[in-house]
Amino acid sequence: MPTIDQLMAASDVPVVIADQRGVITFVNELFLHTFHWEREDLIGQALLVLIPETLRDAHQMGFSRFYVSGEGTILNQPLALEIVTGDGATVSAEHFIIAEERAGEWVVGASVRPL
Amino acid sequence: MKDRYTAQIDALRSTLGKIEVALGSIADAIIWTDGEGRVQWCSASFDRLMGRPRIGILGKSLTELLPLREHGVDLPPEAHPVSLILRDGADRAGYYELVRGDDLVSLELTGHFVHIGSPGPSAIMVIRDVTQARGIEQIRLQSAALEAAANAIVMTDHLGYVTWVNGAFSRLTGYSLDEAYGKKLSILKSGRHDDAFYRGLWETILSGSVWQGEMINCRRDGTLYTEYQMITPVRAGDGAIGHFIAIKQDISDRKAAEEELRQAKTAAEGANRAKSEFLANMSHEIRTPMNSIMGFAALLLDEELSPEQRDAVETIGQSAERLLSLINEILDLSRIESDGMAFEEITFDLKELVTESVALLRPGIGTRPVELRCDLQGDWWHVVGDPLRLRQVILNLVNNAIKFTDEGEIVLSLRTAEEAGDTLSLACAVSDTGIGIAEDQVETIFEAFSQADGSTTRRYGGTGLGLAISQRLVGLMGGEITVESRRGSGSTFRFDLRLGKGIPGEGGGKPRQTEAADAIASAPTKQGLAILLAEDDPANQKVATAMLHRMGHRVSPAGTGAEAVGMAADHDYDLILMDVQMPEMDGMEATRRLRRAGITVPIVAMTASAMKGDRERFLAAGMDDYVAKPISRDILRRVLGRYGGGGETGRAAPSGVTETMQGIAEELGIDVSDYRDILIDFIGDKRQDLEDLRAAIDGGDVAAVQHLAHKIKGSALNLRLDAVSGPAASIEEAARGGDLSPAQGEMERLRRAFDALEQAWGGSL
Repeated sequence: MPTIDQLMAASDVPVVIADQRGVITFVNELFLHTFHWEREDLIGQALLVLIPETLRDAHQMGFSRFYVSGEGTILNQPLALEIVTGDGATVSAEHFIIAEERAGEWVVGASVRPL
Repeated sequence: MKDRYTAQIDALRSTLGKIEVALGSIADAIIWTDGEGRVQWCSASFDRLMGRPRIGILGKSLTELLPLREHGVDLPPEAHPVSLILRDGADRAGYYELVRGDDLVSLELTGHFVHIGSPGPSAIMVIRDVTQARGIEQIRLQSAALEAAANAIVMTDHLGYVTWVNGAFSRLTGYSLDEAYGKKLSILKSGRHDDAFYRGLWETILSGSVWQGEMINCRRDGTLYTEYQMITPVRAGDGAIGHFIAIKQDISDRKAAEEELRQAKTAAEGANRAKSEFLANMSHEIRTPMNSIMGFAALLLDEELSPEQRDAVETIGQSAERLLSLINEILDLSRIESDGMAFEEITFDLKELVTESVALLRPGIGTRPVELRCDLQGDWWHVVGDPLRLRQVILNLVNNAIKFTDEGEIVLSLRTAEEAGDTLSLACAVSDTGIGIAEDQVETIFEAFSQADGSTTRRYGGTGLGLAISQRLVGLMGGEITVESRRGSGSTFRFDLRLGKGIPGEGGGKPRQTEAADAIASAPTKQGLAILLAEDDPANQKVATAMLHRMGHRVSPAGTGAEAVGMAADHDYDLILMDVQMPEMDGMEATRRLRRAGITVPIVAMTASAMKGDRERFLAAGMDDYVAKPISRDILRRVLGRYGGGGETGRAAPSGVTETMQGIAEELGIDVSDYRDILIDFIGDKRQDLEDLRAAIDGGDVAAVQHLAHKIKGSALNLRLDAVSGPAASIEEAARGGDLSPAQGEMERLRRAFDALEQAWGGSL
């Protein structure tokens, strides 16, 4: 299981990282290239921009629970989920999501390989 | 500013998180879908219900995720509740089943149609797993059914302690559930069964098998009842017996009814037996004085009488004969009904029996234009059975036909067919062109004392017992007589029998009376025996004494058994004739005493009962033989012949033959004139056989000798011609032994006997 640092250093897999409020703090080049996003369209935005409409409610509820309790149900396992691309399309990708506590706050990161 | 927003968002996120956790703690699963029925969110309980993480569920169609059945039928997607809610824009609730792996899960679904926030409508579904509740409900219903069951039901643990009983159990035993709970069922023990009974029961159920049977148990109030019980062991999950379930049915009423029925049957059988015994006894009582009447009538006829006197005496004799034949029939019937009729199993020639029976009856037609003929078809005629009884049936059926036929024909038809093994099937039919029987009377003609029409008795005579006796005799031989008839167009009586296949020449046993006859031929003759006659009835004593005197014997009468014992101890007798029923000491006891005293003189019982088993009793008491009462001179003569007293031989004078004939005719129950006709036929028929027999003996043809001698013997036996049957039997015996040397001498005796017969009947022809 990779660490946040390893994710941030990785160049062979698309990576996105957010803070405990769900605000995107980092994306690597491969992520931008793979999913047709511009860095400035993502950094500082909510993760919701990457989540299709039908999953947004569940994301909000689940992320809030994690925020409140630190209990996640989707961490540390490969998950096939849809992701929204920069050109408005929706594609399937294998998500592997991890969370790390840093200086009293959660940092959430994911590798996202298109399927 | 930004921090304030952030703080507010964080607060909202915290609230939302708590709600998510709270919703997840609800047992019911909560789902909301978009307007297409796709899952947008679901609570943690839905994971548990589906058995898979909900992340894989999100965005999927609920109709695919949660395929439902309603009343056992799979619902198509368009009938799924979520589809209906979104289609109708209305709430909906209902019960459904979900197939989950091997389980069938019962669900209670409540669906709400909502149109808030997100674009388009959504459905919020609340799903409750009611499997367990439904199971409990099912159990509650089953429990109610068991409680309401008519049969008493009791459950125990594996040690037999009661855990539950139903209402019927309480009503049956008087113990309520509270009273029975925790107790062993031995509270019901009545003491009517031994330990082995209960041990057997426990062994059965502990081995895992069902025990069922009747048991007498005791109610709480001490009264007994009979139940039919079925105890089933119930195994727990680990395979060990955890419980027993007993289902009990109160069969006390049925048992009581059965017992009543049994008692009624016993009583009825007892009454019937008493009736039969009464009849037998009455017959006996009547036969004893009848003996005197007939005996003295016969004696009187030897005296010088005026024609009027002779006529009167003959009438007395004939009336007595008719009365006797009636009594014989009643006795036959009562023997059959009291199960006292013994059947013989001997080989006989059916063809001869039939031919001679018909010859016997033919004279009865008299001058009426009636043709009586036999139609015999089959290859095998030697059968094993009781010739006397079969003959009685055939005589009766043919005699009836003769009685009721004024013109036309009577056909006695017999078919034999060989069957597998050693059996023959015999189909017998007697058809006539007589008055017939009305349809509504066909049913009753086989009943005792019944003739088709009461008026027939007056016109045609008879007791009406013949058919009843015949039907019962055939029944005892394994068949049934049926009748086809219409008034005015004749009757056909039929019966089928299965008889053993006899081998010609292997006579097997013989009827007793013919055994006696055979003995006569070989016994050394000695006229003038010293006979002790023990008979209490003075009239019978007189008759027997007169008969014996006339045969040339010396008679010492004794009036009681004790007197007979005393006399036999003091004097030497050649023979003792012993009445069985005497007051004080009966014949059986007297015989036992004589035998104990070492007296070996032959003792012949005289009895009027002759029921099944009598002969064995007589022999067991030490008697050598018995004669049936009323005693005819002929029978007496033949029995005495066996013990050296001489009998009818071929040297008999014509007058002797006449006497014999009277006796035989009496015995056969036919007119003397009929017998004479038959005899004349016999002499004519058998002349040729006699010639053939002589030629076969001279030629040394053993097989032919055996066959012919058997044929002559059989016919002679039926006609009671002992002087003929005796030598014929000896010749047959010699042939069977393969040595014909004794046959020459016997042939000479046979010829002399035959000549004597011919000579005797020469004047009559």
